[in-house]
Amino acid sequence: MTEYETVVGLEVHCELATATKLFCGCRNAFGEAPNTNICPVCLGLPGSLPVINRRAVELALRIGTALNCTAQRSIFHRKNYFYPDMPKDYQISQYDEPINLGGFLELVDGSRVGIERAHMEEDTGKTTHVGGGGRIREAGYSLVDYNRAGVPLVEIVSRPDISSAAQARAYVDELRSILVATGASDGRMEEGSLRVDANVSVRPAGAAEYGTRCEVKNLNSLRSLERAIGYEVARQIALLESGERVAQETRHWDEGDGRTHALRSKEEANDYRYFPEPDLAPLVPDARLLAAAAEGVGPMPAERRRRLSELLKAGPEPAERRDGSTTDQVVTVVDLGLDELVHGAVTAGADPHLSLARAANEAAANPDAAKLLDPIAFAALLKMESSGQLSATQSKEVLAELMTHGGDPARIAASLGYEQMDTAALDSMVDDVIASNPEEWQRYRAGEEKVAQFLLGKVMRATKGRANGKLVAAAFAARRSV
Amino acid sequence: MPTPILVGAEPFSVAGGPIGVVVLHGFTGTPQSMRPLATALAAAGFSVELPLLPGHGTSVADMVSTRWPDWSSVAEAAYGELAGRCDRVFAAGLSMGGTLAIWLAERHPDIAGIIAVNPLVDPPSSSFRDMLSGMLEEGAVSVPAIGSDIAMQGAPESAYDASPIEPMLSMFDGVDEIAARLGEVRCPVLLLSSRTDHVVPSESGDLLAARAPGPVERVWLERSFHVATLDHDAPELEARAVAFVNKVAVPAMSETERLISPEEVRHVARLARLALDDDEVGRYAVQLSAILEHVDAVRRLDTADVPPTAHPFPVENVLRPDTETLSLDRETVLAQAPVAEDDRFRVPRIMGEAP
Amino acid sequence: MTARQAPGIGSVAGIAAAVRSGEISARSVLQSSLERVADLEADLHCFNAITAEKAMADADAVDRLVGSGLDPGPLAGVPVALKDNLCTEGIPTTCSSRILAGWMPPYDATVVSRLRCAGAVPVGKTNLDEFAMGSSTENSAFGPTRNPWDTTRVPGGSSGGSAAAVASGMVPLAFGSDTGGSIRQPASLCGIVGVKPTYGVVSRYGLIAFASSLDQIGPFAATVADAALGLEVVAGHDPMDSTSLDLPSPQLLASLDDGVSGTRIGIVEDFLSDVSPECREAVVAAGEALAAAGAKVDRVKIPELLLGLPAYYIIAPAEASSNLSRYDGVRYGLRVDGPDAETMNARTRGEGFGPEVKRRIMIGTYALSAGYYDAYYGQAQKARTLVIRAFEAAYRSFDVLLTPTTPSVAFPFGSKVDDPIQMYMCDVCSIPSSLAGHPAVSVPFALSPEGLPVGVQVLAPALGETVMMRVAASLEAAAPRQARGPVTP
Repeated sequence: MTEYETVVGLEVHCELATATKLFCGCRNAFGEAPNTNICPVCLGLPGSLPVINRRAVELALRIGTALNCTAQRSIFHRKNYFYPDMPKDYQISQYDEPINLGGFLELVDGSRVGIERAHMEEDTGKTTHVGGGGRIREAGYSLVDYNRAGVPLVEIVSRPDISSAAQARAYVDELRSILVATGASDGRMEEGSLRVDANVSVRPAGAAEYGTRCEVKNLNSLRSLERAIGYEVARQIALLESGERVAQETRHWDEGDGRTHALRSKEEANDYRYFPEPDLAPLVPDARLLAAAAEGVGPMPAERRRRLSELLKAGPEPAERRDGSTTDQVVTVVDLGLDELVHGAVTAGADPHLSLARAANEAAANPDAAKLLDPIAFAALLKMESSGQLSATQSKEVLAELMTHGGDPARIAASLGYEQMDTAALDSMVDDVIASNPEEWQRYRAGEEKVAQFLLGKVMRATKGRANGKLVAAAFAARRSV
Repeated sequence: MPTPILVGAEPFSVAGGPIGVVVLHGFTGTPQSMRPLATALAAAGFSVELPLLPGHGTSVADMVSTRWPDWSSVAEAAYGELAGRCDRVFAAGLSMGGTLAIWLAERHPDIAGIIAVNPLVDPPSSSFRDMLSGMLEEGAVSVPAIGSDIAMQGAPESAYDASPIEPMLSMFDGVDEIAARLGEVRCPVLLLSSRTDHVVPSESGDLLAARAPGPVERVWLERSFHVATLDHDAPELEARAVAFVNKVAVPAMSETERLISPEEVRHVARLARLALDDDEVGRYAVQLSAILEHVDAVRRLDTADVPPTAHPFPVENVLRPDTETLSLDRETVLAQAPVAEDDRFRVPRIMGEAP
Repeated sequence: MTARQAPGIGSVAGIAAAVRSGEISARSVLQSSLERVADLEADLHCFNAITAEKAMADADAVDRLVGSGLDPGPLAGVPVALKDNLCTEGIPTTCSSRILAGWMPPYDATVVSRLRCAGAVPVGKTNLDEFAMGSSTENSAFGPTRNPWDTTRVPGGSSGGSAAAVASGMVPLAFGSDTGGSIRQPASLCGIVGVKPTYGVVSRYGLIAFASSLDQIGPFAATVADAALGLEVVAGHDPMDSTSLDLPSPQLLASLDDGVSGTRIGIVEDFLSDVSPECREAVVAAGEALAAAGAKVDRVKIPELLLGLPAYYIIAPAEASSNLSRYDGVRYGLRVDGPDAETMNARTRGEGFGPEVKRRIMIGTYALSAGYYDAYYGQAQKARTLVIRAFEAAYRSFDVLLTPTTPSVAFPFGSKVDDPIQMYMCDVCSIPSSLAGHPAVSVPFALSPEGLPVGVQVLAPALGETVMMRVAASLEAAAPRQARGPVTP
């Protein structure tokens, strides 16, 4: 049985978060009533002409920078083909002189996937097929809405460096984070802000030549992407194993039956007859455009993860890891945009690992509120927990209150009755419990650790949870050794 | 006072493109029998001359004094008319019209091709001619008609109801003449033969196919009788005639190799979503080839160090701000839509997925 | 020859001045124009649509402004005809094609807005070769326009309707579009002035595209001064057109009558052969007239310009094949039904487009198709560079160049329409300046022996409209009065 390796290249179309379309001033918005955001330009009416949206160029350059591409002088080309969702029956796109060339994307696990190019183009309208179960092949007729026609897109084409379905998913996930972080996209795959097509092929392990590839379309979620690639790889391997060839074709992923299907075969491949768009002038990434592209953009997710990890190295290793691995916490915190909060807390003196844990677990429950947390207050709370003033449970409750209503952690703790129990009262509690549980105390003194929980529990119950568990345990330990 | 021409029997003439076709009707027939073919040829862009032969199309009495030279000279004149203004001339005919077409081709080697429908090529036997001569001596002027041998119901041929004998014998003399010179028919021939022909036996077609030295394409018409141009197979007959002219004329048209083939025209028309019928494909292949030949100078330029110019002036970074402007009113736009439904543009089912 | 000189309804400048000053009403000017249209339209067929009611409303609005002491603008009350490939809101704009029959744009072309803002009164949409493809207006789906000088002959094309409307005195000002000569050639055949500006000087927004890198809008008028005034009003930067130059409108009128003393003028010899004798003689005579007026006139050879015709007949159809894809029966215009979208598209376009349009779409598609792009389109764009360089070299020694506008005078109907190549040759003198994006003007200068008008073309370098029109004005001053219209057929 031959070993096969998977080769995947991904084409991701990203709708840019501009206010207006690429070539006209119509609103760029999802979900509005059909054909209400149209004008002579995006409808391709006779006599209309395109004019490039400056912001779209800035965002495209921004994406290129985030993907480590080289920005270059570029022109637009016409890609000629007929389809009802195309108002001009040609798409204004970029061909052999795209705005961003080369680059790479670093995944969470540190591996890199190469980027061929990231170019600009206009989106098409939306077609709804009526009759025949909504599928093209059996449809009676179609209805077209041009609201989406002319929305600016950046098409990001990866090199065929992806070697598994899981890695493909990780690539899109990271790419999405980057696109959201740049502000270029809202990343809503379910709204079509991000669309993925996969080019999948297999080859015997170690082979130099690429196998025949199939393009897989209709991948509407990360899950679909992973499942579809998995299916397609298996399908191709099965064909090769049975001595057949893989036909180069476009296949449509069917989420319902979990398979890819070949589309009606076309007599000939499309001849797009690309030629330079005569209605538009070339784009040169001058200082003004590059400055605007860079403005207000922070570091990308990979860089932020790196910085957060650096922060953790500085502090001591935590005694226990109950709240999930550090790596996962780092990913979560950056993904939710809470890394600035953690940095701020640590700068104000909080313990790095504790800050990370609380941010990844508790604050993450309500990321929008968490983003508004004052890092100083957060740090103060964490210090209260670290010093033993508050138990973990109490700390979490204060944090929740802090996120909902803001305020001062100490005052919140007091209002919740989480005042520190004074040492004398605590000592007398402890002595009381020792006195009323002589047998358990003897066993504990003899070295039985398990019974410590029992004694601790007695104190906690007696103090109605107000006692600080750590301090109680320390008190017992101190008496034992006397 | 001359007898008026029977309705539908008028001659037919169309000034079309640079390819011409002489179309000839048969003995005791009229242009009516050839109209559909002539119309099809004209629609294909060819120039067409369909004369009314002397003595025909009015009354039998007018025909009695006419002879083969009368008809052949009219055919000759029609040929001359077209040769004067066309680059290439073809000859087409039914029955005796086919005989006349062959006669023209033998006289004019520059005729590009012949379309012969059930032509009379094999001279009738001397016994048959003797019989006719005998009838003449006994005072008969004509014999019963040969017209309207058509399988299809309700498609009568406008023809005389009697065949005058002397003209018929003259016609046979003409057939003798052409039969003897079949070796001079060097141009391509499209021979359309009805399987069942009650007027002209199949030996005529066989003889032509055997003796003409040029390429002969023989097509059997299964559902038609003698006047096939008005019968069941007429549409096929017309299509084949047009295709034959296109096929034969095109390579002869340009001296250089043909630059765009009908196949390429079909391919380009498909890319450009232009529905073209076969005639148009043929015609455009000729015209587009001429244009390509004309622009060929550009192809052969030495432009090694010359950059292309996409824009007359080098402007850059023509951009607009990302601010919203007024959109169109949907009702105004949809009012102009050929078919709208549900606030959207409706189209028939789409066969493929978007690229 | 039955055409005779006719006064027309007045000059552009004259009418505007009179209306602005209140001397005459815009309404009365319009009346005269519409009366002339009514008299001659049946014979000439200049218009696809006459918008009399709207024009009356516009004229009345102008008069109201004048009455209130306000200035309606430099074209106050001037009746103007617009080629039917210029979008006019709410008024059918058909490009003389069945595929757009009845289509009403929901917006005005920039040029149209500017004309209306200047007080002009649009009277109707004029006939053209379908989608501006042709040199005779015989390719119109709605029947040809006739030349007012001889109604058995063509007015030229593609802007034949606009040219004939001015040449017959229906309107003093009309606008057309010029891609390879579609303003200049009909101007020459109709004995009037026609201007193609520098590419980018007049906005293309709202001009239904034929060949995007070549199309320009320009004026027709009986005199150079009137044409200059019309051009000044519509020219200047438009943010809606990315190819529009970021410059204000050129100032032409001020120096129009400064004469040509010391101006260096080159007669392009390459365009003197293969043209009819009267066309050649007119250019020679024009050169002599300019020399007599103080210009330095010389001959010059620019053989590269002859590459222009074949390069153009690749580039223009290539761009057109793409520009015309949008006519697919989906959103507007003709739809011929079919069982599926693709068949519907093909049938719609098969029936909606005429043969010349189809020929050019197919040549263009072919020239761009896989395997042929470099050989045809790629090479043609390089040939274009050679033409531009040749002009640049010539303009180092000359301020303007002089050529025939077109190889012959107006030809009879049907004489070229069956032979595409013959028809394309009409543009041989006008195409090179289109490829280079340079301005050019045709000035009526002579009459042929049969009494048909002969125009002479002045070419200038990019943005050279000022010197170009100055030379044109000198030519006009030296030309016999009967060489130019308007005429009555």
